[in-house]
Amino acid sequence: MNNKEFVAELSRRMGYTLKDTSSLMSALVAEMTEQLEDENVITVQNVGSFEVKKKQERVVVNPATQQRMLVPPKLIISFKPSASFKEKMQ
Amino acid sequence: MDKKILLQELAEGVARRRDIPKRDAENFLRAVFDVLGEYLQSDKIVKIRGLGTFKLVTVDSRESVDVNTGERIMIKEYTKVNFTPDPVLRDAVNKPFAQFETVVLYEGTKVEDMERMDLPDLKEFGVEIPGISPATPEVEETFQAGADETVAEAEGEDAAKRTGEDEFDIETASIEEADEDGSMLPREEHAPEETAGGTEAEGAAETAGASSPQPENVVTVGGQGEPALGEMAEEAVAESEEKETGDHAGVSRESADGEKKQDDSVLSGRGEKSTQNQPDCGVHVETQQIEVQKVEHQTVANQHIVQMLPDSGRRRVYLTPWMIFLMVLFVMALVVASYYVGYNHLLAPGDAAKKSDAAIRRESPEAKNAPDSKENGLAGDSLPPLKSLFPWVPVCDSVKPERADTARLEEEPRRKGRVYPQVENGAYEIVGTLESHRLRRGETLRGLALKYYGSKDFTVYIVAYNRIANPDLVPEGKVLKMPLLKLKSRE
Repeated sequence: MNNKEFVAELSRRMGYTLKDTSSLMSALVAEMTEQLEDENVITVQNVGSFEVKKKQERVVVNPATQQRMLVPPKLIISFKPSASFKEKMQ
Repeated sequence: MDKKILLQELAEGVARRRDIPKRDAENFLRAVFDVLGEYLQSDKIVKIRGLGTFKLVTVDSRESVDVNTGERIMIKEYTKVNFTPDPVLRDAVNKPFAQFETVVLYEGTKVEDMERMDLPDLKEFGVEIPGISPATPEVEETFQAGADETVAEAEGEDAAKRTGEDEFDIETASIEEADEDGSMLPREEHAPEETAGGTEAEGAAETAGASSPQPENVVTVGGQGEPALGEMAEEAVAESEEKETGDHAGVSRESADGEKKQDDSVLSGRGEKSTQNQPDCGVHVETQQIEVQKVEHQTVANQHIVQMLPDSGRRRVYLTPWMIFLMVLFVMALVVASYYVGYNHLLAPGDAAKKSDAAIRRESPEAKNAPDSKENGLAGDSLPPLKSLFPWVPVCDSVKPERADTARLEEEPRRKGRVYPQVENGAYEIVGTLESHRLRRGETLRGLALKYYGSKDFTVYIVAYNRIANPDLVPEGKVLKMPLLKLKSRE
């Protein structure tokens, strides 16, 4: 299901116009992005939590050339589904 | 930062952004996640622009081993939720680290694996370090890390140490000699320095039996002091080397006053470290590393030291294996002693019990052979042969058999209680009875499992199938049904 279908389904359910729905979606995404940028943990009941984690820098070796490279540290988003969500997906 | 944001707070933010009632925003958000969950279930994949992709991934059932028991178990197939953030979101979150890029590490680059670089470096300088083992890197590394500080602090620490060491009797022990040898050098070096030089020179003089604070004399004092030390024949050669060291250092001191300080600290650093009685290899490596660093930007005076250091370094390395050997001997003696003490004191009470215990213990390895011999024709009562074989075994009369059985069955792992998770989660299921087996004397459930299934891990299946209450005590003559096992099929 792509974004278009998602928004269409959402608008049908909520009774909003497509335009309103996508506007609200972008607001939601912007809000989530902002919260995650602040390294806050977003927890949604029965779905899961979005969290920013720091990945430590590391040295990787190219197995073909034996070249060593230092990969810088990263901040990544991890989504951890809640137990009930996982249960539902089985 | 690290605040927990709930749906309500998110809704608040959305409401603020779009100027709608908070209630509506909250309903909207709930609908979003409802739709997400529903469509994830039906379509297995949901893409949301700006946020990312949620995907359901099926993980096949697979066989694994129980980490505790080492037994094969079946992990059932399951579905896992995968989330891949949208590049926009990913980059936004990673903004603080965005300026970093992956860099290629070239040969000369020193990262955390310093020690790997250090050895080749040393070899370039033709320094022989016998006895360097891969175990030393940690020591090296810490020294390496703290090298600068130690060099800086060495002087102060050394002065303190020396005052203590001056009181040492020279003839006490060879280890102390090593220490003194180490600290002797810096003592000579420090003497000309007017800071603590006076007392140091006196300290040196005390050991030598002559006192003179003049720089030139100090060198000779060192020379006198060392023969005094060198009462051991083997030390004599080394000492002459050290005298050399002192001379050279004296020369360098005169030639370059500014660099003297660094020389001092290098030497004193070495002296100080050798007092730690550590495997000295690490210490030498460190000293020589400092040396190596120095050489790069220093003059003739230091090159003297570079030449001498390998000498003295090698000398101390000769001493090291001997000391290590002594230490190892001591530790071994300790272990042996504690073992005997423990054995005698803990097991002495109840001498008879100990005896029978030991007897049973000795018997148990043989007990495994017993079934075989029985099968070879000695069926039925196996007691007479056992008794004749092991006369020290307590006579197995009407009471004893049970006890012996217990002892043999003691090998059975205790973990097998009333519940058998291994059987439920294991890779095999019980589908019927293979055959029945009458338990004979000397047989263990483990042995049976080994015989019928090829591995003693299957004991638990026998226990479970026969509902044996106490697998450690199974009466002789009990008829056991051997379960027929079938590998669980993958769903």
